[in-house]
Amino acid sequence: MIPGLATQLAPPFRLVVTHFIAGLLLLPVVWALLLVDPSPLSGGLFGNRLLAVVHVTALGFIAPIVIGALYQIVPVVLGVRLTSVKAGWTALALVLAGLAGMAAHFWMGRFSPGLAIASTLAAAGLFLAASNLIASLRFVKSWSFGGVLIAVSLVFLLAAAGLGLALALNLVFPYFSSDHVSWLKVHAHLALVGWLGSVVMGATHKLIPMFTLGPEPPSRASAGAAALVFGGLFLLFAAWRGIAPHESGSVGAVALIAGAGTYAALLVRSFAKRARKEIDTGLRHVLAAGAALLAACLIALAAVLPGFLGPLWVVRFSLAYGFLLFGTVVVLIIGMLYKILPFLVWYHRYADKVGLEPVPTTRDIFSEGTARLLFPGHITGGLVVLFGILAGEPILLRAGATILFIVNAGTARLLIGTISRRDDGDS
Amino acid sequence: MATVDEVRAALRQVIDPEIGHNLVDLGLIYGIDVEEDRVGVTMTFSTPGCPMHDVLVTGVERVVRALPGVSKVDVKVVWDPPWHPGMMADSVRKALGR
Ligand code: HEM
Repeated sequence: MIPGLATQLAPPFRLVVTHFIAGLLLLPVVWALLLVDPSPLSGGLFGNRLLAVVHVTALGFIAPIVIGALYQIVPVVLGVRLTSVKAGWTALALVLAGLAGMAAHFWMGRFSPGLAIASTLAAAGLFLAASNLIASLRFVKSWSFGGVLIAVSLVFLLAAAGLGLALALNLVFPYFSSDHVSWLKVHAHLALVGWLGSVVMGATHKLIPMFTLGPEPPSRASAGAAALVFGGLFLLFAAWRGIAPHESGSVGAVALIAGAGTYAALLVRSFAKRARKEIDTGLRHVLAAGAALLAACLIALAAVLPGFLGPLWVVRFSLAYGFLLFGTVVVLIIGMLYKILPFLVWYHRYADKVGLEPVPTTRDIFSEGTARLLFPGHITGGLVVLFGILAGEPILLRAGATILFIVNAGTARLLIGTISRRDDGDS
Repeated sequence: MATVDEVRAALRQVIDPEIGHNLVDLGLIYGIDVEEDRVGVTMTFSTPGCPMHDVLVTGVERVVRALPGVSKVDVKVVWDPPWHPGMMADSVRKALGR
């Protein structure tokens, strides 16, 4: 059984799955964009088309799915009701409308007032979603490690969106001094390490033991690992912004990686003690995400070691680092969706019927076989894109983007099919 | 009056939706007491704090109450002794790859 994913306190099923559907439909768009023009991953950093691709992934795929999942998980893990369902719908509409404008402006390289408006809409959507969830947290009676990290993640989301908006406004009406690249790095890391890192730690702490029937990693040690990650992150920020000496950045990077490594080791220990030895496709994705994260850390270390790489390789390694960080999150989300979504659909459709009539199991409503077939495609596509980035080779990038487009469209079809599955007698 | 074996057989109809095995073979049913038309079921779950408990407890009540001669069902969820994989039937353990 997957305990703890459904409850009377949860918001309407439609709100949660609409977030999932939006994200699933937008992921193939990322690969379609890179098929049209692979240069964002073979050129330099900070190109306008790279910004388009990054934000379609971040605001189109990651944000809707993570926020939709939080709407479901927060009531369950923390025992509180979502403050406003209406605000949940409004936030999604704002993020998607804002994203459409941001992606179009970034793609065309037009830093006009339209970009400022679009970014304001997207940021307003993220603020609304985060504050809606934070308002629910006021009523929490007992906090767990997972709950605290979810709260922390929302604060990081607010900060990342706020700084993203400031950077977008700066592109339209420049006001940051020449050091705006340091703010850019802070923004990207607030989002990718602060927001997503805490979501990942908070969610896996509860969900991995549930899925595998293993013990939860000890809360104290997990909290220590998280403190190392966030402490390291703030040291990095301080070094980038010139508040702390340059060397403290290296200490920060080491602390961050040590924290992430410690947390991963705690998860691995829980995983090793699991009752359920079978490793299904969802869990394979989780393991692949762990491998991508490890590769991202190694590549980041190589890129920041002074004199280790020439300037061209520093750029390629930095792109590969970003790709692997995003890859970690995307693969983890897909793996978690394979586990969570069939269960939610099951609960919505059949919970009332248990004991009254035979009900299907989650395996009956979700094709594990199709998911298993898609998995090697994910890995192959990801590796081809990674080698394309390292070689600066557009043909490889296009080949990888084609594979990932097909595989992600297949994933969307599989999961949306599970959501919209109709049984005989279904109303 | 229903027999303990009949109650156990009825409980085999309640399937954990994700693992795909019934509560009896998963080792989650600790005890069954039958007294006239009253049946008591003592059971556990693999993890505490699970809202799915409600669904499965309701399922247990329903299948037992549907037995002829049963008019009252009392389901007690306990955490001691804590459930462990060794409590599963061999067939389930094998199916789960242990
Ligand atoms: C409403 C929300 C957001 C806005 C308005 C926004 C805006 C921006 C802008 C304007 C830049 C480029 C800054 C410049 O070149 O000066 C940027 C870069 C970046 N953003 Fe965001 N952002 C938002 C949310 C996010 C989120 C949620 C993520 C990740 C999960 C993210 C990840 C990144 C990354 C990785 C870069 C650097 C890309 C590169 O190296 O070229 N952003 N963002």
